[in-house]
Amino acid sequence: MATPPNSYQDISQLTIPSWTLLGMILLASFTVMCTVTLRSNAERETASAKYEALLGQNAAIVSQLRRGHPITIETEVEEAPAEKATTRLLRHAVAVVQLVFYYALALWGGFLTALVAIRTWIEIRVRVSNLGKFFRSQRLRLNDNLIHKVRLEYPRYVESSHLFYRQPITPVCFVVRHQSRRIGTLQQRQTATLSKLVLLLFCGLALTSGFLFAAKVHFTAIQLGYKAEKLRLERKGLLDQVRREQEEFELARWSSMPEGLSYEIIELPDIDGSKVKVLTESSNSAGFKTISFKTPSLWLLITFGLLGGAVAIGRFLLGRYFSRHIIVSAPGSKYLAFVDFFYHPNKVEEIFKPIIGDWQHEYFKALSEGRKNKARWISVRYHYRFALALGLTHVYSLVRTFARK
Amino acid sequence: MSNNEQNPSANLLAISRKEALILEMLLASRADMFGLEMVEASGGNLKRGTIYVTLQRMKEKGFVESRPEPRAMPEIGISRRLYRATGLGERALAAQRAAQSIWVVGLSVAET
Repeated sequence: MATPPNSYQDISQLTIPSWTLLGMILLASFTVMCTVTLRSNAERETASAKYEALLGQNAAIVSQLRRGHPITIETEVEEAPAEKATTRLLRHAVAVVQLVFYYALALWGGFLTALVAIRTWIEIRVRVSNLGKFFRSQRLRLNDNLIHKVRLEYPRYVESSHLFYRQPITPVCFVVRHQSRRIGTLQQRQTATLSKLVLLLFCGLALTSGFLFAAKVHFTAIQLGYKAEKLRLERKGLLDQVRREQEEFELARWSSMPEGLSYEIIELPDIDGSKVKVLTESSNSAGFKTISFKTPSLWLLITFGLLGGAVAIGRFLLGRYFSRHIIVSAPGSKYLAFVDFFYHPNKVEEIFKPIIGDWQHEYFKALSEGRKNKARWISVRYHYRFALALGLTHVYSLVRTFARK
Repeated sequence: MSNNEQNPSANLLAISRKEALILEMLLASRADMFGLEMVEASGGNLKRGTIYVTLQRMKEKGFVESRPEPRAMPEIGISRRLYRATGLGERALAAQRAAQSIWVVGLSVAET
């Protein structure tokens, strides 16, 4: 006599969102990434242009000081000290927030990448090494204690006796497990998941790379801004020095004129641009300190990414021990509930239950042989056969009624 | 007066081709059979979607009897049913065979 094979069913649920929702999230993330990248590029170009302009102006001042020519430099409109201080402080706060944001982004990116990589790895491992070994000679039976426990919690399901346990390890790999470890386990794969996970992994890597590139560009722009600020202060010092030199020159010239109306050539001292004292913000009238901005180091970002990956791995390992059992119904059980409601118990027992019993028998036999597509095909065909049995039952009743008349 | 009115059980005791095939298989196997086993053994003459309707009809006529499959320990899944031919089914099949042989002999005599 044939023993009913293992009874379990794939409910095809994935913990990631549905593909429509996920596609929208990915699209929005790519849009944000592109916007951030473009904006960072624009910031960097602006900062670079300012830096180059200030560098050229300072070089011009230094060279003209050496030659003793009169200096004409366009003066910039200086901000008021209070406004300047507020702007600097705000910029500092924004920079710190951005720094924290990028570290958090690296953490989250590492977490997601590791999570998806783990699941992809499991799927590949199962596909390569399984080859049907998990599906052979492994029986799933529920012992009396387990039946009793389930009966207490799910009486309706036990009465219909379409029970099996499935322990989800990951979205791509399920283990149907009995409480007793001596009884074999069943492992089931979702064939369509690998491509989804590879796509998800690609999108995650692309997004993470894009955001990291944008971060790099953004911090380059910030560094250029701070260099430009240093040049601006340097130019201010140079202009002060020029003013002093001009005052001394004029004073010497006018003081020597009454002595003999003979001109005396005064040589300007050599000015070394690199030795010009650069005024810092700590020495100006506003009295606030120089902002020492630190760009995020690549190693720190990688460390945060690895930390996120470690969290994902820990979550995965812990999840294996704390995952819940799930009870799902076997194929055909919904049909059984339908005919239970509408048909005479005698017909249910004699016609419909045997059909569903054969359905489950063939379905699980195919699964136990590792032929999932065949199991699906069997399920499809039994839908038709069940409908045929429903129709034939009615036809036979009508024929018998007319025959008796 | 029709045949049904003269003998109400005449219609019920008629054996169709599929019923005869099932009875032949059950009597030949000398053991209880599942519906699925009968489908596989019939070589395509019986279908999975119709056999249980036929078996239920035969059970109403009294040709076969069924019982749920015995299970040694609590198992999951719906239990299937085992079928075996009854004495009435065996006699009905023998009668049908005799009638067929008489019919064939009659035809051959008429031809000669």
